[in-house]
Amino acid sequence: MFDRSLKEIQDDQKVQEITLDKLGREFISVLFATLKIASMYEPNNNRYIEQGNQLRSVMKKIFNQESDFTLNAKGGYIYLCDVRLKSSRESDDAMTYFLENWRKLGISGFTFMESLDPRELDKFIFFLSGFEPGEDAEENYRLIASRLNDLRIERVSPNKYSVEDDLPIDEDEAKKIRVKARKTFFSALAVVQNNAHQVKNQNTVNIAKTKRAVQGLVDVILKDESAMLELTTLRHFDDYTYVHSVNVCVLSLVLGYHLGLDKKRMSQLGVGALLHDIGKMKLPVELINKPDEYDDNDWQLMRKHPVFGIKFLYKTRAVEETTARASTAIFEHHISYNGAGYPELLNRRMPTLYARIVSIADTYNAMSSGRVYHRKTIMPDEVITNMVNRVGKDFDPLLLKLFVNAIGIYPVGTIVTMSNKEIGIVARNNPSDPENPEIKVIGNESGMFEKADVKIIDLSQEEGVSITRMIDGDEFNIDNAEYLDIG
Amino acid sequence: MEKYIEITDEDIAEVSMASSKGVTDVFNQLLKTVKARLVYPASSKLPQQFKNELFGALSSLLDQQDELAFKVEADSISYKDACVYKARSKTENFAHPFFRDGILEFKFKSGLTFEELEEFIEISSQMTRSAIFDDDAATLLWEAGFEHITYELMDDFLDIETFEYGTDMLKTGKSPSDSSFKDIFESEIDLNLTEEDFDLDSEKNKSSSAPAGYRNIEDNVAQFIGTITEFSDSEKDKVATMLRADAEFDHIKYAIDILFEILGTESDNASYNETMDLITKVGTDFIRTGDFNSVLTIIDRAKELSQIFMKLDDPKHEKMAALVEKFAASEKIRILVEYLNKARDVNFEDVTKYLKMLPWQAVDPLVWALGELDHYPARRAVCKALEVQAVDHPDILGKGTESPRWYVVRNVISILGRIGDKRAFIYFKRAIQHPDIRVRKETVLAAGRIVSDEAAEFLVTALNDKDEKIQTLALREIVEKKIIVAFEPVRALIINKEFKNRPAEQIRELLAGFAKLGGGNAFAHLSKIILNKFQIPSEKNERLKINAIRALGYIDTSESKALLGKLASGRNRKLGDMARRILNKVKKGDRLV
Repeated sequence: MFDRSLKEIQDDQKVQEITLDKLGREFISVLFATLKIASMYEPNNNRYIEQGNQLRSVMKKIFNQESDFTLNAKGGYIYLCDVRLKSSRESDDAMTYFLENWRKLGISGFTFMESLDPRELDKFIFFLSGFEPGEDAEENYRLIASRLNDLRIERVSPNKYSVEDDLPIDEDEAKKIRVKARKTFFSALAVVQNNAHQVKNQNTVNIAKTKRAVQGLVDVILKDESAMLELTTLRHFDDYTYVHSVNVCVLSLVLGYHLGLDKKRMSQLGVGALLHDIGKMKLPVELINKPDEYDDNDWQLMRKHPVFGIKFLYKTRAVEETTARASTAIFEHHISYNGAGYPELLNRRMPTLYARIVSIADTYNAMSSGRVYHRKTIMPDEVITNMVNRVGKDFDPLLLKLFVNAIGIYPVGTIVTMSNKEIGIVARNNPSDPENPEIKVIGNESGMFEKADVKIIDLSQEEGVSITRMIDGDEFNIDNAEYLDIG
Repeated sequence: MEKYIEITDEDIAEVSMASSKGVTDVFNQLLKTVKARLVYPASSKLPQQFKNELFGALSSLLDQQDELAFKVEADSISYKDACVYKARSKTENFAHPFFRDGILEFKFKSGLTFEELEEFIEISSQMTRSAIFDDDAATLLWEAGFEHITYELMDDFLDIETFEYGTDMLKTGKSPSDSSFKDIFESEIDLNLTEEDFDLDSEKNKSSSAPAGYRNIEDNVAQFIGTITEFSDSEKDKVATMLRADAEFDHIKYAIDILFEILGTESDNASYNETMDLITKVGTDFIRTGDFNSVLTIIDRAKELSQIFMKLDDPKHEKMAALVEKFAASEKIRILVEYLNKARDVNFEDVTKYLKMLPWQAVDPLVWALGELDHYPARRAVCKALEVQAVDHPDILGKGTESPRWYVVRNVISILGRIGDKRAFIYFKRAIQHPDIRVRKETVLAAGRIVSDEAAEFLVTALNDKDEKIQTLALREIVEKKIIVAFEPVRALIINKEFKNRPAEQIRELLAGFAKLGGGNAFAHLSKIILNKFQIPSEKNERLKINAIRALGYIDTSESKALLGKLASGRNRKLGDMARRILNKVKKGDRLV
């Protein structure tokens, strides 16, 4: 009935990717080493001859798979043909080198043709190792292309760098994701509202829909976390209690993503985060809406919400992997890293991973929503300073470090002034250069720009421009929501 | 709870013709594979074989057309507008679980791996079964993260009517005036900013380790922020350890720990009772989902606490004991039976371990379960548990002998025998009258297991059972257990005039048993049979004599050997041959003398 054996089919599918990934990593390591050796020795030196042989040997293996092949850097990764090379200790240095240097050279990489002969390859290696790039990347590309032509190196061609190579996604796609992010965010909000309604009136909670909402959030975060993070900075909601749960969920997922959780575990974490305050629905409405300061009795009751939450969850759902994991976040999100906090534990211990994550997200969002909760704006630097001062006691040091790395020291949505007297909103964190994020420039000291004139700049690429301070948008009537569609 | 959805052969056969015959064939193969997975455990060869065939067929098709998209309707699935599956009824509907969960289409794409297909089959079979929990098809497909199987979800699945927020609702409607923008920069002057603050190359800015936007932060914070982009090898290792520890962590057990922790902190009676009820509910859910390890953890914990409270003279020990007893209630056993009759891939070791931990109150419902369970391994697990639980309650177990189901009676009798309590004989006496021979046989075997006068008496009585098979079985037990008191009743059977009319095998066993039990005391009667000169020689009489000679071999006395010797050299050839054979065996030590 079938033309091909099972093994043949499986082999065909897997071998290509695995082989190319393995060969690719070997190739960039050897290429990197060859370029270094070529910069130190003459072509007839034994060290180089030996290294050159190694390079040819790897390339021969690749040519056995592909007649021509490309080695390109895109979006922070190296690709051999269309296969993204995995990170490994052996090839990490080489990857970093090519990612950093090729961009300066104005190229995304090279295409190698099968008929490439050893002499031509040697010429290429010595040319590339000795090439001194100028300031202008585009000019560098032009020079490389022309020099290769002069040297009659015809079977290696440079691939021109394009800004798109550095974008994780194209612009249209980015817009689509932004729309999707909003829809998903509001869906999650609707689920939280609906859950709250169900908890109060029907004594149940819809876990299937909660999971779906979380899955949507995870999908967007995996594509563009900034699109989701900017929504967590919006404050103009009728009932902020529900938004808080969604924000905590988004922030927890972003931290979980940076920590390296897989999709399934992110989903479980998200469910716990979205439901972390569900026990509050079981508290008297008068307490939740109490305008005055809480007295001791109020606090005593308020401190029961994690227990109410877990009891409610177990009453209405069965305990299986997802509910069990989620429940630890519900029960322990007010327990500190050192085991203090509430509810009081019989055995003082460090909370579970999900609870430690949700605790960071919960505290961060509660503090940065200052005006909502405290009737006073607390700026991101104050929030982060406060949290850093509690590290090791209230928060897991490594998780907090990952969190700040993920959201940035100027979190998305923060309104900042810059040294060139412009005002902007942080659009995207730059994890490798957190002091210089991407900014939507919305005005300058003369006033606000027309929306059409709002531009996005990458501070890490701007010479002499830096953030000078963070400002309170509410104080100056600057509304983040107005700029959601830009970018 | 929904009913099990079954896919029948007719379903597959009656699929209407799709435009492409190959696609229809592949879809039929998919259904066949899912069906095989529903019926057989994962380790079984048949589903594996079907999966291999399906993968081969699907891969061949995908080589030709890159992707295969199947549209899902409420009761049908189609490919390019041609129906490849039509449900026969509401309960036999492969399309329904996907449709119910908002999946409009699923696609297999070129590059599909065997592992992906295997997981898709698992998900499909899981969904086709009853959905007890919250993992719908979309969630399972999402979690699987397939690269070459995609699905389209109903867009408005999450839309909820009560939700009223729109994008515009997020805007405050406020906007800054130009003067307020000026204020922003003027307010910087209030912060004592100078030109130097804006000069990145200034000494002030160069020496500061804090980001420019951060003002007045302490050194420790500045240091923390200064290192957030760097992760040392030790930090990377810590992250890896954290993730590994989390993956290995038993969250379900931890959830149970939390429940008992909450119980331990409850300060009023009502809350305490509420948490106790919650623990029972959680335990019941574990039974419903077949997580017997977890329900066992609950029972262990409750028993442990009960002991502690008892030592402390705390009345809560009774509550804890009552909690354990709740798991022995009929309602819980009924749930267990439902699960065991329906589930595949059950770990019966866990089931047995769990059942053994139940208190004696479970005896009665478990006896009921013996009659309801469909599968042998499940009944065996219950029997093993009853051997433990009914040790002090054979009277409750014994009531099972009144069951109208013969196999329940037989199992109960067998367990009573294994428990070995003398009180079992009340039930044996009833069971030995049972119309089913299998029950009566089991009764004799069970009685043989209990070494006691009652057993001897019972087995001796069984020697006179109307069924000769029972008599023989009883004799074997009597001989094996060396119940000497049975010698006379056996003798009575042998001297009965009708004895020689019994089947040859029985005569042989009875005479051998008689010799083994009586030893020297049996010699007189055996020799009498052997030496008796029948007026009318017959085959039956001869057979009787030969078996008596054979039985002599079990009597280790000089007179027995002498008689065998005499017979060996006697004129009757048949008797002589047998006597010589027996003597040889005795010499070789083959005979139990």
